Amino acid sequence: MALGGALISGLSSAAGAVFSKQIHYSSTQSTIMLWTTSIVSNTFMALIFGKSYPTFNFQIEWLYLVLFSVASIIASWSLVRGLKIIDAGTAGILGLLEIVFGVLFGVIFFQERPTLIAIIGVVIIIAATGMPYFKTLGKAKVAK
Amino acid sequence: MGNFFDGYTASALRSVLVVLFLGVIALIYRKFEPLNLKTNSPYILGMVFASLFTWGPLYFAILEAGVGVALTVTYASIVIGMLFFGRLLTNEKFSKDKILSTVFGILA
Repeated sequence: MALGGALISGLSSAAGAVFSKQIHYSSTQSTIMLWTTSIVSNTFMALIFGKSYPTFNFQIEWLYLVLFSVASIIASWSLVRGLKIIDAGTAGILGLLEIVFGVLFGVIFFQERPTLIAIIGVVIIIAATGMPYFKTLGKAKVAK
Repeated sequence: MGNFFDGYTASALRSVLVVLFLGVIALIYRKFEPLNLKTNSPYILGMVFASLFTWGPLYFAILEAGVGVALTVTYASIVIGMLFFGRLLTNEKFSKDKILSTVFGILA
């Protein structure tokens, strides 16, 4: 049941991204539309499940939320811009680099030490994300 | 942020902030365009429908199965979903390279 939830979430996320590729707007307006739909649906779900909004009282969590929002702008605009240029399938594979950067930032900011299996996973992800471009790179070298 | 915000409220508030920040940027750089709802409404409805099931099920999965397992399945399904919906909605081809890198990506 829980894994079904994760599966539905991933598929929905992918569907939303592909819809933003198809919409006839610039990358900026498509990103705004993507987040506007997110306001509508999340507010709706919060109301259905009776969730309350915390009051603003200068807590540090609000600053984290603002920083998270700035990171979300950069991430989502880049994704939407990328989707307008390359295939959704390729963008999905490139999206796995998020895990690589997660490990990297863990090392830089939290002094985490990745396990050998995590490093192997990172190397495979980097190789996998490069695969769709190896042929193009080979052709470009031959043409030169 | 811990449990200060609930899953849905955090997503809703974050979305409001993103729209506000991006809205200001779009205004400054004159990036707003006509909405053309006749052409774009199917995609907008699709985005609303998709976002209804993005955060909630993930939140539930994280609580029930833990962050690691839930996110592993989510990342794998995003990759598969991008391939599937890319094919379904934009008629993208399943090339051998793409399928191979998807398999390797999911394995990793």
